[in-house]
Amino acid sequence: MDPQINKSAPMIELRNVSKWYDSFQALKDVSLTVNKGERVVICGPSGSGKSTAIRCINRLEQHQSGEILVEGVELTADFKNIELIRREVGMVFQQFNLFPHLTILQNLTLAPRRVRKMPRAQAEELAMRYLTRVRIAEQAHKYPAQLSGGQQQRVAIARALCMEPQVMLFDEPTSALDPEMIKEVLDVMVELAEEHMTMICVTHEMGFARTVADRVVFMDHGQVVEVAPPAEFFASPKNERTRLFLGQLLKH
Amino acid sequence: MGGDFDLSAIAGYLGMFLQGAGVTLGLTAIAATFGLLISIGGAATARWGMRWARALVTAYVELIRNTPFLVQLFFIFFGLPSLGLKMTAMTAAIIAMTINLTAYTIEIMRAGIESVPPGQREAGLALGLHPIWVFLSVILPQAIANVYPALVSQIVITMLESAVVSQIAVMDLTHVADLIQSRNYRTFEAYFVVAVIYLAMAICLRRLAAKAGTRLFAGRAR
Ligand SMILES: Nc1ncnc2c1ncn2[C@@H]1O[C@H](COP(=O)(O)OP(=O)(O)OP(=O)(O)O)[C@@H](O)[C@H]1O
Ligand SMILES: [Mg+2]
Repeated sequence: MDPQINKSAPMIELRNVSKWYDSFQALKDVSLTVNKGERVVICGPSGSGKSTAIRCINRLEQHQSGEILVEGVELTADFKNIELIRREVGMVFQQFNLFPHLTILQNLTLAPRRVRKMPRAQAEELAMRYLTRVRIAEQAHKYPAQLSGGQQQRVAIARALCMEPQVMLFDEPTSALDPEMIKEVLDVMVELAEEHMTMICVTHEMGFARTVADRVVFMDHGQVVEVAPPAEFFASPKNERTRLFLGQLLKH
Repeated sequence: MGGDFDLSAIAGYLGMFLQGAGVTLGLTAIAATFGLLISIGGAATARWGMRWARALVTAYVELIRNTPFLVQLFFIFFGLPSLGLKMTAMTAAIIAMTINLTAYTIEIMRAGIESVPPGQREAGLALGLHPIWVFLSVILPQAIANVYPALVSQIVITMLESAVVSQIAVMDLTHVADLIQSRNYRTFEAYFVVAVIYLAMAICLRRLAAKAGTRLFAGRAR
C-alpha cells in the first residue's frame, strides 16, 4: 500500500525517538510535535543531538526506535516512503552544501527537473522566482565559489524552496557566516516564517528565536529538556540546565 | 651495420610509422573509453557495494596491479585459447589494455569519490534526488574533476605501455619499428623515430586533455 499524506495530521511528529551511533546514544526518547505553520527553534549545547534530531526527520540519519511521522506518514526504511518524505521536507545546512560544479541556476533546477520531471524552461522560471525572492537573481549564472557565504546560504534556501516543500529544516544556517552576513540570511528566514512556512531551526540566534519562534526547544545530552513559547522560555526557564545554557549564551 | 645516423634511410617507411601510430592511438582510445566507464562502476562498487562485490573489486585491482602487463597480455592471448577462448591479437590487446588500465583508474576514481565532501551527497538526498542521480549529477562530476590530471596521466601511461602488444604481432607503432629494422638493419634510426612519435603523442595528449579540462571545469574552481 502506498503511504498517503494526511493533511490534517501534525506536520512532524517524533514519538520516543532514540538513536545510537554504535554504542553511543545520541537521542534518548525524543518526542516533539510540530503543527502546520508552526515555527520551532531548537537550541542546546554542542553535541546535544540537535543535528541528529532534525537529520532523522529526512532520514539522513536512521533512528532505531520510536516513530517519526511526516504529515501522518511514518518514516520507514522503504525507499518510496523516504523519497515521498524528502519531497515534502527541505533542508538547509550549516556549510551551505551548494553543488560547486553547477551554476546557481543549475543548483536550483537539478531537483525539480530530476525529481518533479519539470521541463527545463519551467524549472528555470521557478528557480528565477525563488532567486528573486532571496534577492540574488542577478547571480544566477555564476558558480557558488564566486558568491559570498551569505549569498550562498540564500541560494541554498532558494534551492530547497524550489521543491516547494511543506516543511523547512535549518541546521545552524548562520553559524558558518561572517557576522556581517548573518542578517541577510536571517531576513530571508523571517520572511519565510511570515509566510507561515512550517520551520524547524537549529540555531543559537536568540533574537530570531524571540521574534519568530512559536516554541523554543532546549536539548541536552540527547534529550528534550524543555519546550516553551519564547517569552516564557527566556524569561522563566524551568529547568536548571536551560538556565545554565541561557546564562552562558548571554555572556557571549 | 647501419654506419652513420641517417634518417633518409627510413624515410620511405613514413606511411608505416603513421599507420602504427594510428593503431596505438586507436587501442588507447578504446581502452580509455571502456576503462573509464568500467572504473566508474568499479569505484562506486568499492565505495557502496555489498561486501562480496567490494571484495571482488579489491581482488581484481590487486591482481592486475601486482602482475606484469606483458604476462597479463600473454595470459589472455596464449593462455585463454586453451580454455576454448580464442581471439585475434587485436582483440587480445584491447582486452588486456582495458583490464590493465581499469585496475588503476578504479583506484583513482575511488580517491576522487572520497574527495567529495559528504555534505554534497546529503544535500542531494535531502532534495529528494534518487541516490543514482546523486551519484551521477552531484558526486561523479566533482570526483572526476578532482582526479582529472591523474586519470589523464594513467591513460598516457597505458598508451606508452601498449608498446608491449607488439609482442603478439599487433601492428602498433613499436611493431612497425621492429619490422623496419629487421628489413634494413637501421635499428637506431627506426627506434629513434618511434621514440620521437611516442613523445609527441604523449605530449599532445596531455596538452589536449589539459585544454579540455579547463573548458570542462571552468568557473567551478574559484
Ligand atoms: N556520524 C556520527 N558517528 C558517531 N557519533 C556521532 C555522529 N554524528 C554525531 N555523533 C555524536 O552524536 C552526538 C550528537 O551530535 P549532533 O551533531 O546531533 O549534536 P549537535 O547538537 O548538532 O551539536 P553541534 O551544536 O556541535 O552541531 C555528539 O556527541 C556527536 O559526537
Ligand atoms: Mg549540529
